[in-house]
Amino acid sequence: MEDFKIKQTEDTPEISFVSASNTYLIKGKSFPEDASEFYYPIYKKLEESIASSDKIILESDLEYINSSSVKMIFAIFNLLNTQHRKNPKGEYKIIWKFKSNDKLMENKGQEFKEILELPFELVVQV
Amino acid sequence: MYTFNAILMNTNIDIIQVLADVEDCLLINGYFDDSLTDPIISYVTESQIDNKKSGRKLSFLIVESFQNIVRHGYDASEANKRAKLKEGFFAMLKTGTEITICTSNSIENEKVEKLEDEITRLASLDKAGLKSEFIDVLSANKYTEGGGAGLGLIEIMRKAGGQFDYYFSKKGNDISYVHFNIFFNENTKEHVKVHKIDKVKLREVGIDNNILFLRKGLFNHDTFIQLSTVLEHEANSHAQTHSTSLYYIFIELIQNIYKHGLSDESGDTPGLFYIQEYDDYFYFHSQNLSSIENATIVKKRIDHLNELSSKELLSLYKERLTQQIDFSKNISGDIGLIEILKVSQNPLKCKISDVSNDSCFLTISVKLSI
Repeated sequence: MEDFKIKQTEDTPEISFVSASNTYLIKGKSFPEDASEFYYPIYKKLEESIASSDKIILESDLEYINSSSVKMIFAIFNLLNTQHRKNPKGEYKIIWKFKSNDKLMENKGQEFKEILELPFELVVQV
Repeated sequence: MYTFNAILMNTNIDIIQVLADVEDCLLINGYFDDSLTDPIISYVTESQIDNKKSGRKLSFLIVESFQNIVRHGYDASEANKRAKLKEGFFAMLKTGTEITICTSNSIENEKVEKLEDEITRLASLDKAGLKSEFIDVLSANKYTEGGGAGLGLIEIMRKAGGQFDYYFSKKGNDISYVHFNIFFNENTKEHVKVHKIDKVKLREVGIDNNILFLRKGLFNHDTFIQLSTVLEHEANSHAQTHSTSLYYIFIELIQNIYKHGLSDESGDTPGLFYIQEYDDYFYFHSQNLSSIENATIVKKRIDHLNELSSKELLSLYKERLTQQIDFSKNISGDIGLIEILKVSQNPLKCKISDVSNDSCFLTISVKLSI
C-alpha cells in the first residue's frame, strides 16, 4: 500500500501511513461529528495492510478524544490484535504516546493495554 | 423560544429567567488575554451574524472590548501578571438581529473618579466631537495606561454610535468593577437598547456565582468546534491541573446536547450548558429538549451506572469497548456517560422536567473536584 497522509482538522486528527516502516500514525484531537464515517476508511486500509504484511505498527499521539472516537480507535487496535492472535509470529505493535501531565490519556492507554494482547508500548512525552 | 430552567448552586437564581428574553448567550467569566480574541471573533462571525459588514463592525467592538479588559483591567495577582492574564467578564446576548455586548473589568478605586469623569465627558460628545477627540489623542500621543479612557474607548463610542452605557460597582476596599454594555443591531445603523435583560443581575449570576462559562442557544457541530476553542483556552487559564478533565467533560456533554437532543426546523438543537465553580468543585450542567422515551432511557442508564463501583464501571467500559462495532451507526452506546463518570469520579445527576405530551427537558449535571 502507498504512503498517505490525511491532514489534521479542527475536530479530526492527522492520520498517516508510511509504507517503509508499515507504520500508521494518529495524531491530534479527535471529536468528529461522525466518528464512524471518519474512521471506517482507516479501518479498511488497515485490513488491506494486514492482508499484505506481517509487520505493522500503530502509533497514537492523541491529545483529546471523545467517546465515539474511543470506540472507533479501539476497533482499529482490536483489528490488529485479532491478527496478532491469528499470526503470533507476525510483528504487530501499538505505541501509545501521552504527555507527562495528561493522566487521562495515560489511563486510557493503560486500559487499552490491559484489554489487548499484542505488544503495547506506553510512551510518556515530557 | 424554548424556556429552560436551571437553578445555580449556592443561590436561588434561575439563570434562564435572567436570560428569558435572550435567544443566544455566550458568557465567559475568568481570565482573559489576547489569545481569546480570535476564537471569540470566529464564534461571532461564523455562527452569530450573517451580514459581513455588520460582522466586521461587531468584531471590531468585541476586539476593543477585550482590549479594554486586557490592557486596562487591574489584576493584583503576581501569577496572572506573569501569565499576562487579566480577570474579566464578557457576555454576548442575541435576540433576532439585536446584540448586546457586556464586559466588566477591575480597576483600582483611586482611578474610578478620573475614569468616570473621562467617560462621561466622551459620552457627551457627538460624532464630530468624538472624531476630533480621536485625532487629538492620536496626534498628541495621549495614550493612557491602566484605567484612563484611551483610544479604544473612543473607538467603541464612535462605532457604537452612542449606544452604550456603563456603571461602576465596588469589588472591595481597593478595587471596583467598571461595566460596559454596548448595543448593536445587525441590520440597522441605529443601535437601540433593546434587551430588557437585567444586566446587573446577569453580572451577579456570572461574577458573584462564579459561572465560568455559559452558552444558551442552538447547538450544532460547527458551534461546538468554535466553543471548544474558547473553552480549551479558558480551561488552560482557569484550571491548569484539571484542564484536560474539564475539557473532556465539556466535549461529552455538549456533543450529547446536539447529537441526542430534539432539533428545531433548521436541524439545530436548542440547549443550555454552563460551568460553575463553587465550594472546591466545578459543576457542569447541560440541558436539552428530548423525547420522553429517550430521556427515560438515559435516566435509567445513569441511575444504573451511578450504582456501580469504580471496578464494575471499568469492567463495563472494557465490555463496551470490545463489543462488535457497527460502522454504519455513529453511536458509542453509554461509553460517553461512563467516560464522564470515570473522569469526574462523581455520580451523574439526571433530571427530567417540564414534561409535555411528546417532549421534556433532559438535564445532566456532574461535578469535578478542583
